[in-house]
Amino acid sequence: MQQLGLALRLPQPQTLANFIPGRNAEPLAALRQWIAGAGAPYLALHGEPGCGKTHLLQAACAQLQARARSLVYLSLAQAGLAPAVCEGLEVLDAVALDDVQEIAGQAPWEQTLFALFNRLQEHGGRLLIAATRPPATIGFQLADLQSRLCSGPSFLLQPLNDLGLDDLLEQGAQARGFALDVAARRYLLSRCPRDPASLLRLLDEIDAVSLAQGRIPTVPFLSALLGGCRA
Amino acid sequence: MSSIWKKCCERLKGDLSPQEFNTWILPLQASRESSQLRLFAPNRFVRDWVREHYEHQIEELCNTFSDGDIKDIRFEIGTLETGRAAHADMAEPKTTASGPKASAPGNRLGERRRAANLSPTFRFETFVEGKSNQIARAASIQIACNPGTAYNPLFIYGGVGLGKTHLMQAVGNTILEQNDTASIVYVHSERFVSDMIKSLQHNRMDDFKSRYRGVNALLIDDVQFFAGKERSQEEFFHTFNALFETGQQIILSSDRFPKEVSGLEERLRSRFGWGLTVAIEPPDLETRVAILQSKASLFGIDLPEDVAFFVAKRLRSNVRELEGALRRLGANSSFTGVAINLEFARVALHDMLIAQDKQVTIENIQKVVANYFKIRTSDLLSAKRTRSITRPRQIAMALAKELTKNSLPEIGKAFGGRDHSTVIHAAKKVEELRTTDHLIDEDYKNLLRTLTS
Repeated sequence: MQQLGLALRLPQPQTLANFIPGRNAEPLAALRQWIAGAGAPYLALHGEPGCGKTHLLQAACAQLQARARSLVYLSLAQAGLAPAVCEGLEVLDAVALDDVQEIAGQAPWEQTLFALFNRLQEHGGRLLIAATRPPATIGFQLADLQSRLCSGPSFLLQPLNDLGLDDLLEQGAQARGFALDVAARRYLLSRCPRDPASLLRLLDEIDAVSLAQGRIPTVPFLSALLGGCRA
Repeated sequence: MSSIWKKCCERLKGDLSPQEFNTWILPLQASRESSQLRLFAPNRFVRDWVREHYEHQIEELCNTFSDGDIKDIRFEIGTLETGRAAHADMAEPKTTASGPKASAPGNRLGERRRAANLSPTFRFETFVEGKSNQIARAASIQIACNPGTAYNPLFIYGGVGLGKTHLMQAVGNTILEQNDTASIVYVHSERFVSDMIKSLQHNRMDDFKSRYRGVNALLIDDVQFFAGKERSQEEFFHTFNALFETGQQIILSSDRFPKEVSGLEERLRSRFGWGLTVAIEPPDLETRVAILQSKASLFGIDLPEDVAFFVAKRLRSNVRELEGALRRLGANSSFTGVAINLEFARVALHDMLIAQDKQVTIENIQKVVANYFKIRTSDLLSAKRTRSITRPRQIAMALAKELTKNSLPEIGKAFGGRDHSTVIHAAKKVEELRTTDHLIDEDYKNLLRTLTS
């Protein structure tokens, strides 16, 4: 008999505790300092998609919220946003801007970010940004903005290597309430797309199907689920 | 925070994605007055977005958590003046007038600084003099000692991140220290514009005028941003005249010579040139080294001279980049507990110094590897099994596994339709060979460097 799972999924919180550091111990330490209000009030993180930038920004928001700080997170890749969304944000204790590369070359956005940077500085607010590239190479048209975004430390987030991805699968499965043994994890890593987002989506799928079928996710189970090999 | 709103937030946190919650709900502030809940958004955009997407959800939750006591929910624009004082443990507290109020007599200078928008870190003592800025610095010191009489206005121009703001604020700080009653305002031109727009909107132009026309020194940064803003230029023109005629000091900065600032009215441009116009050029190598050393001492970072030279040689364009690199070195050193030396700096700043804007693809790896071993790309994809082809092929596969996000079946497929197990074997083989054959290790490192730098 097939077990019917409820179509309920609590969003997995993105915290510092469940961030797999991999080779990113230094950016993580810098972020903890920034959250604690120590060091430079402005910090930049950069790295290719899937290296954990959004996770860290969300985690920083959660930490600051727990400390009763006023803050906002903005992904500049979000559809429907306009520069007006940045008005008055300098009154907040902290602003976290994700996907900053998205607005490069758009004069109204660049001027808005430039003004926000200056105002946050005037108000003593803290700024955290994330982009796919370091600020110096994002390609801003407004030199004033680029130079300001270069004034703080910028850290490269390295993508997870096989060891890190293995940790991600193990912890991700645990967080979903099931276990994946070494063989199962190795099986997934040698056959599936190796970016964290795809692997986490796959874990959701494994979770749902293994629950519905009442089966433990072993290699034969995964082999059947993935149809042998999935590119 | 209202306890009802706190409960609403807890529920919304579970219902919405973290991104959604942190973008739209987190910046809201709430205040409850009997049966009314007022929610304050930082701006109109956020308020309208929240109303459009979450109003119904918020109403339902408030109704549930208040047992129907909340009858009216208002979505407004603004902020509650709460919580700031509770944030006194922040290492760098807010510095505006709305920040924590320090009322001890000894802090009077600090209050005046905050009211003037001046940062105490910008001082002449921390400004590193070099050939590129010595005239601007000397003129600024003169003005700080004789405001309104030496040179009026002082117009400082130069590229971004060369110290214009530092000099302007150093003048402001010195005047404040030397004259207990002097009133000063430092603003960025964009702030002047937005203050004026807000004053017009709220019918408070008299307040605006008295704020800007009643000072002993007005310092306006980056006046090129007045370009094309006619109403602001008009207002600034009158402000300028009022201050100039009464002998109050005006200091302006821009990224270019006054006559070259486009989009400004001629009457403003000509006034900008009435006093003294000085340039700040990009600092030479020795000055960049001195700037790094001065900032290192300010941040408490132990920076050896050879490292300062190394960084200064690589980052030439502006001081902010130097500061960013220095902060990065300081953060890495404090995290690892390793003293900064040349090798440490090379590693720590690798990604800053070498723009890694190249996307590494399997195709690119194949081309680079084929070129390196002087074989054809098609050989890598062929069925040939001679050592001269298989070894580069294995190295290319190992590099593809390390540098790309492609799945192993995808990598195998890109190498002439091979199986994923061939990729695993290749990566293992290369790893093994690198420990036993230093030439292969050298080849691998060279290729890695070429592909990632």
